[in-house]
Parts: sequence; C-alpha cells; structure tokens
Amino acid sequence: MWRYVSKRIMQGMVVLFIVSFFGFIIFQFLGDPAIAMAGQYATQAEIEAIRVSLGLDRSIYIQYFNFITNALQGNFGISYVTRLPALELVLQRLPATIELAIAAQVIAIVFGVLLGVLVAAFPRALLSKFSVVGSLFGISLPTFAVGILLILFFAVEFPIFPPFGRGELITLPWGWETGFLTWDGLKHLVLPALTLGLLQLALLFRLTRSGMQEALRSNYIRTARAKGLSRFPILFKHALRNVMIPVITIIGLQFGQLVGFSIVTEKIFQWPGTGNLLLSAIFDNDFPIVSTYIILIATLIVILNTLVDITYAFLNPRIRYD
Amino acid sequence: MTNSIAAPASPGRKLLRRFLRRKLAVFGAGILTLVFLGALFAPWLAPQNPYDLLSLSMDNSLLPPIWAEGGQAPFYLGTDVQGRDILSTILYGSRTSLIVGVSVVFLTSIIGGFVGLIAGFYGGWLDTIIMRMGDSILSFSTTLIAMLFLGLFQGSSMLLVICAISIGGWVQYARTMRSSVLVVKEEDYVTGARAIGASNFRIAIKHIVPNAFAPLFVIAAIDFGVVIMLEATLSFLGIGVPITEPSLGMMIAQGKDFIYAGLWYLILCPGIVLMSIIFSLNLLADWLSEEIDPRASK
Repeated sequence: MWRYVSKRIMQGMVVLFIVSFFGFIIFQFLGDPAIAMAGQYATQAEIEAIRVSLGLDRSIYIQYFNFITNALQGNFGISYVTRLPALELVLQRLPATIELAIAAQVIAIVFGVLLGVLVAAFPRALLSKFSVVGSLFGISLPTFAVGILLILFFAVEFPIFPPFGRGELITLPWGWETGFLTWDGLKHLVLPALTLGLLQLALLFRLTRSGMQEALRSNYIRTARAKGLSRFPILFKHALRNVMIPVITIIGLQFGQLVGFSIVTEKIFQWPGTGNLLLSAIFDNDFPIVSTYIILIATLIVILNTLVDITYAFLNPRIRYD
Repeated sequence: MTNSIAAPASPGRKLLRRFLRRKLAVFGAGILTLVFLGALFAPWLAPQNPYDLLSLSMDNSLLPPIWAEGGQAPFYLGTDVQGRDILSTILYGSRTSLIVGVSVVFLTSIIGGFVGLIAGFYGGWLDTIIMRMGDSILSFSTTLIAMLFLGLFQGSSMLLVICAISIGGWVQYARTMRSSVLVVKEEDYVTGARAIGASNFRIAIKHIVPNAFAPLFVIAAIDFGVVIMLEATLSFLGIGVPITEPSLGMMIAQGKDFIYAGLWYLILCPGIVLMSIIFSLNLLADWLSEEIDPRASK
C-alpha cells in the first residue's frame, strides 16, 4: 500500500516538475520580461540593469533553478499590467472559481446520480424517457450555449436570476470572500453553476444509469430481493455502492475539464474568478499571470487526482497490488 | 410469405437493416448528411460570401429574419451587425466545424491507435511511460490544454486549432487501442503465428490490428462531436479560428452582446445548427457503441 502511495506521489511530482518547466518557458521566453518591467520610456541602460537584477543574463539552467526556488517561496514575479505580485492576484480570484466549481459539482453529482439510479430502476416512467433524451441534449449542448440560453430565459425574458457578477459577499476571517452565505450571493451562483454543471450532470447520469442497469441484473441484487428487502435500500445501499467506484473515478478525472469550462462560464457571466483573469492576461500578454495560473491550477489538479487515486486504492485492494 | 427462401443476407446488408431499424440513428444520419451537403456546397448555396468584405454593406446591418417585420429577401435568417448574411455565415461556419472535426479525429485516431498498439504490444517501460504521460494529459483535459496552448500562441489559424486539440486528443484512442491489443495478444491465432516464426511487425499488422481496432470507431464517433464542440468553444472565447474565418462559435460570441437588446435571432440559428451537428453525432455514437458492444444494448 505505502509503495503504491509513494509511487503515486512521485508521479505527481514529476508532472508538476514538467508543468513548472512550461511555466518557466512562458514566463521567460514569451515576451521580454526586462522590457516589460522597465516600462515604455526606459533607457537601454535601465533595461540592462533590470535584466541583470532579474538574473536574465545568467545561463538558462541557473535561470530555471532561480525560477523554481522563487516559485517554491511563493514568488511568481509581478504582473506586467497591474505591477502587483502575480501569485496574490491569482489567489485573490481563486475563491470565486472554487465556489463556482464546488456548486457545479454538487449539482452534477446530486442530480446526475439520483436521476441515474431512478431511471435505471423505473425505465418505463415518463421521467425516465424524458431524462434519457434530455441527457443526450446535455452532452450535445456546448457550455457557452447553455449559459447564453439560461441568461436569455432566466435573466432577460423572465428576470428571476441576475446574469452577472457574484453579488453580495462576506469575507471570512482568513480572507476568503464567500458568496455561499448570503441570499444574494446564492442567487448569483444559480445560473453559472447550472451552466458549468450541466455537461457533468449528463455524463454522470449516463454513467450511473448504465452501471445501475448492469448491477440490477446481477445475482446479489436478486438475492437481496428474494430475501424480501424493500426496493429503496436495495437500490441505494446495495446496487449504488458498487456503481459509485467508477463514478468517483470519473469525477476525479473530469476535474481538469471542469476547470477548462469554468473559464468559459466565467467569461459569460463576468464571474470575477481565475478564468476571467487568465483570459484578460492572455489578451494583455501578461505572461507572469498566465504562468502562475498554469502552475497553480496544475498543482490543484495533481493533488486532487493523487488523492482520488489513493482513496480509490484504499477502497479497492485490487488496484494497489497491480 | 412468397419470399421465404431468401438468400442469406451479407453482413453489410444485415448491418444496414439493423441500422434502419434504429429511428434515432437514422434521424441523426439524415441531419448530418444535410449539414455535410450544406457545408460542401456552401459557395453555391449561400446567397453571399460572408467573408468577402466587398459584398458586405452596413446598410444591411442587423436585419431581422425574413418572417419578422422588416426582413429582406436574400437575407432569409437576417444579418449581423456588419451586414453579414446569417444563413451564409452558418453554411461557411459549419465548413470550419466539419474540417476541424474530421482533421482532429483522423489525426488523433491514427496517432493514438499507433501509440496504443506499441504500448500494448511491447509492454514494459515503454508502456509505462506512454500511459503515465497519457494519464497526466487526461487529468488536465484536452479542453484546458487546448485553451492554454491557443491562449499563448496568438494570431491563431485553423491549423493551430487542429494541433491544439490533438495534443490531448490522442490519449483516449491510445488507451482504447492498448486495452484492446492486450486482449487480442493472448488469442490462440497470435500464439500460432508466433509459433510458425512470424515477425513482430507481421503479427502486429496482420493479426492484431485488424482484430483490435473496432472499438476506436465508437471513440471516434463520440470524439467527433466533442471536437466540434471544443472548436466552437475556443472560437467563442476568441482564441480559436481567426476572426477572418467563419465559425459558429464566433457568431454566437458576437450575437451574445445583443441578447439584452432582444436580438436573440443572432444566436438562435447558429446555436441550433451547432447543436444539431453534435446531437446527431451522439445519436450515431450511441448506436455504434451498442452495435460494437452488444452487452450494452441488453
């Protein structure tokens, strides 16, 4: 077991090392940091002085080493546009993205799994037929189209939910701004979270449904039924437990995609998260921000995936003895 | 009952008959054919070449569709803010979608199939390295990788979009091919071929590939829709195909600014076309996966 865990952690480190290399290349070689830092009216001597102070005159190995040491100390350089530390700017936007992702994920898991179980159990119900066709629409509608449709219906035609921003926020003691705790904040969260969660919901629904269909045909379910257990304990306790393992794997695997689509969602709803920051940094050639975003998001993804894999190995002994 | 002693049907004809029984799949194929034809013959069908700046006139800007009040004759679905005919832009835009979709699926299935064959056939450290690399790419997702790649390489082109999506796209083909190769490798006919002294290359090409590649079709059918969706998403974000080329995603991005003004028709038609392409591909993919994996249809 510990061999598996340490192997998995090593692998995560290797991935982060490779990502940090990409981050370094972006930071150092796309655009000229010295010119960008010195500003428009700097003389050649000033630019040279900055080049030396940033260590850009050294060999590339030393530059990379410096980049890594700086990054490990939380120093990712400063934004070319706002002149503020890049890490601070990205961290400041992170709560918005994480709350959006959590809300979307919860919607997707609760409704996707619940519907999947019910539809597998009652295939002839009207709701089931509707859900099966609906899930096809769910995986066929691009996220941005879902967002625009939701705005069109629930913000323009019938103004129930606000179409942009995070609304009223409360700052928690450790500096995290949350929208979860105010009515207004929650109202602002509804449309973006639905937009981001729909694709995931449809995927989880289809996965749970096919898994449940298979589980319900198996012998242990027939035994449980013969024993006289009632319907819902069979569905949710016996059958669903086995289906949850692939569902959890997919949730972990889809996290990267969730981050990708959060960029789209944030753009549509002008959500003040990291995705919007990244897009404006891309259009402004603000490479320190882009590089910081990539390294930070990669770290999150790697940590999350490693955790999912390790949990999975705890739950399923077959994996760790491979 | 006159035809009771019919000749045994060929496998192709049987497949066709089973296909025709699935109304949804036929429906999807029908819509796809329509879109394909529309895209193929766009220069002859479209009333206007939407990217020939000389044919645009600001006088025609933001015309409503023909059935609404103020609609004008050649602009059946109305025009956008630059006086571009929406129907024409959709026809040319679905060309972009299909070209990107076909190219990426073709490229990634060949690369992925080849990589998966090598990983599954040789195993060992090569397999470990390839698959670990694939796992990492998969955890970042094709979507995120393509977005970051294109975000950094600005002044993009259709070719760059195809490359960006392919960076992560090959992985699922490689994984599918690998697991399929691992099964076929243990078959008796492979052992037999090895016993009579066939070379590795010959075994791989003659015995393993023909028996292992079928599942790639299911992946390709699902992937086709995903790629088209991703292309539209990238263009929607402004990092996809350049602004000088038609794209359904870009049309929707431009139309989005007008929905508060009630001009919903700017996004309705491109949205419907984009969705029906992906929807039809998913209908076909559903049918194909049941056809290739009969267990799923029980």
